[in-house]
Amino acid sequence: MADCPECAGTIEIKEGTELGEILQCPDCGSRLEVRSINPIQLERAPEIQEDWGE
Amino acid sequence: MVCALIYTILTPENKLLIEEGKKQGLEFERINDNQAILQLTQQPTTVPETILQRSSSFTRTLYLTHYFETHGSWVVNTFFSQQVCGDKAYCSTLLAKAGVPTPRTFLAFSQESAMKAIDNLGYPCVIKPTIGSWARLVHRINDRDAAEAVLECREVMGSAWQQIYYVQEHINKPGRDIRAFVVGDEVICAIYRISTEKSGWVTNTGRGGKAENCPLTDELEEICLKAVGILDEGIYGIDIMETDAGYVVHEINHTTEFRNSIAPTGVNIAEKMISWIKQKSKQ
Repeated sequence: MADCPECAGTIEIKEGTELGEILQCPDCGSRLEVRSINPIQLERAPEIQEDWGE
Repeated sequence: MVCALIYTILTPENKLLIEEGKKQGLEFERINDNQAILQLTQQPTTVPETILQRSSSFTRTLYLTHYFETHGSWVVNTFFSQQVCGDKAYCSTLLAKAGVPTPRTFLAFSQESAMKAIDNLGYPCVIKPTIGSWARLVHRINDRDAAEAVLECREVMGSAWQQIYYVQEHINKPGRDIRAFVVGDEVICAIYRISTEKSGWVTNTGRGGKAENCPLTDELEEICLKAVGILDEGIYGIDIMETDAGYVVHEINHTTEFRNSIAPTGVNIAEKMISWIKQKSKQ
């Protein structure tokens, strides 16, 4: 489990979660990047840029 | 075989591909494009034999792919294919030349010419950026007032790309379109993308469109394979609309997302992608 840095909601950290993975807070919907595994550290994910996407 | 995955962030798709790679004995060397430094004037000592290009950024994709292809890597998808898929004007031109049904489209470079093109198409019509994704800045134009407003906005936006006017006939689709997945020479599955209250008239699942299985038919497979015939062999997501006269292809995606398509189709898309890459790498 980890706390959402945006709303302090609780985020489940599943086994196999990797550095750099993007998680979504179930409470506020923020996209968060896993910046450290041990201990778990989450930060707001990079903003979507103009040329991102399919 | 040394196989690399180029990515910007570990999206659910990239995670699925890494996990599937492990299952099939393919350990990806990871290249995060945020950290990449390309020594353009120095011959690299080694490069990966095979690269799965999954960068989120179109511009980064092109630079990285060009670099690695130049030095001998096989990149999925190739620089040529990425360039064509990533720019709607190139894609429309080649689709039409190959005889693939595609919406009637004009390209213009000034407000005045764009207005002439819009008048020719009639209303409603659609204006899109040639480079862009997730239907951002894709607008339906219902009348001349809207056309003038959109063209003026584009003119003052500042980016040279916004003054490339790609205008297209509006296809009266039945509240949905089709996304079909092609891996090599096989159409592996397709979904209907159904517009919702959230997505509005666009159907992108990333914008709230709903995904449902679309059964493959001979006609659908035929148009998909004809469409990817304009590109190098690779992995693509093809966007197709249904009209009274049959299917039309309006876009091909070179870094296709697929997370919302696995459950409705029952097809393990990542498994198909990795199997194909392994098979082609051996050849």
